[in-house]
Amino acid sequence: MYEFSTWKAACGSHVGRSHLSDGIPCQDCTKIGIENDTLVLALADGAGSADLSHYGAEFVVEYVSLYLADQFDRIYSMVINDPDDATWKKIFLDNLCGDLLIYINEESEAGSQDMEEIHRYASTMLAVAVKNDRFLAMHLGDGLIVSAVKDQDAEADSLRILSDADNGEYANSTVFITSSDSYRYLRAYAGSLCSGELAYTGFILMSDGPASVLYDKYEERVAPACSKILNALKEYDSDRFDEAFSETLKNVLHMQTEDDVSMALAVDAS
Amino acid sequence: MTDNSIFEVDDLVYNPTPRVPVSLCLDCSGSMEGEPIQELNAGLREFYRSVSEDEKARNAAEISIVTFGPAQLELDFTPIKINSIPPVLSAFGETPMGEALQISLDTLENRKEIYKNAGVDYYQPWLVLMTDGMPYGGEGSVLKDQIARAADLVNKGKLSVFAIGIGPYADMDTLAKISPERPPLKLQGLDFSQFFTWLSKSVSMISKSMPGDRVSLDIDGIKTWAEL
Repeated sequence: MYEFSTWKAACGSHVGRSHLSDGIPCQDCTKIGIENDTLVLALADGAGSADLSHYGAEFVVEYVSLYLADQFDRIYSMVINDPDDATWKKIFLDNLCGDLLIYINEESEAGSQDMEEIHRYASTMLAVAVKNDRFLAMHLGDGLIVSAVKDQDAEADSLRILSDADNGEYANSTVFITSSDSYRYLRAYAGSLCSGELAYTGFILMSDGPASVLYDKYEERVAPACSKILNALKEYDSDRFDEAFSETLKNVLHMQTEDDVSMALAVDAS
Repeated sequence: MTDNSIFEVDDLVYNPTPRVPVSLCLDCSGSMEGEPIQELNAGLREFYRSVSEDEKARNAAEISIVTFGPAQLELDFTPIKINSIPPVLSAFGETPMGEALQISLDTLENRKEIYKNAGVDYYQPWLVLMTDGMPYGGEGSVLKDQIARAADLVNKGKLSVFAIGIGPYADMDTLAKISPERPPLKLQGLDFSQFFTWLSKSVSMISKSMPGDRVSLDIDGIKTWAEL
């Protein structure tokens, strides 16, 4: 568990049953970053058929957490003005992929920078950053970003989808950082944590594995489990939460899907 | 639930299994009478048996059967359950392939709309077209239009076609036009059972695939039923 101002945050992953049986490592990766007065949650899900995508996912969470901590104010202004502005998105993803190629080159014994190599590291990307009284979110590919919102007239927080999965038409398709024109599919959201009658009190990022049992697509309803986990993060001490969270990933979510399971979450504990 | 878990199974939600819609468009014209139609029926039974025994495939696959001569929807999209048996097909009439293709493509489109309206995810639809001769007895314009329609869907990634020729008189040229990405194959003799066993395994592979998975068909398996 991490603490930042009034916020508490946590993240974790567990390898999927299909990967265990096929001898494939967990291709999900999560990270909590606290730097430059900014809390960042990051999650990435490596492409199943990309043999080095677990490294790709690791690279993505490191990269985006540093990027959002460093560039929060600038990106926030651009997203507030025009969420669909593609210019900065293209630059961001081009730079991410460029740095990924450098990383590949440094790691590769052959020392090559074959552009096609990058597809072996394909990964999705989800991130939420909180700084002062503002938030910023980015989402490329599948998985889900849920937000907890408190209405001043309501007794309890309600959970809403901040960003839904982008699966394209088919169940086994999505967009990755290495996909052609990926910037066209990068979604960005920004806003005040507290505006008028509404206040954002929490965020949950999840990969598509847990999303399959934590979000009812037909009824567009977030599962009660999401409220429970945010409440636990708010109420438990660090050791208790870390143990319970790990057990939940391993003994509950892991048993409900064959895919890797990963979550990154934060709650305002004030 | 373990004592330390934050939530339990009752706190989760259920989403339907993503579906694999498969339209079998099968030549049952007069020339299929006798051993060919018997072997086709045996192959269908094998397909149903094989899919029903694989839990993932059973939960994902939805099968429709269109036959021609005459062109008719023999069975609309239906899941294969443990005790399901396919309809018994009989051979009769001409070979109005265009009209049959139209029924297959229309019903596939309708099925996708049903999935979308119900919030059910699905995989790329499949069309399996099997014929032992040349199109005959239908409208030439319908055949031309439906060939173009199928090819367009394939080129746009909206449809996966498996075009199979049966026997020495199968019109492989027409099949090639319908399946521009995947060359049509000729069945070894009347080995429908091997083909349908391979097809059921292919459905199983797709039903287990996840975003980013590159699903390659079992090439070695193809050799068990196709003349290569």
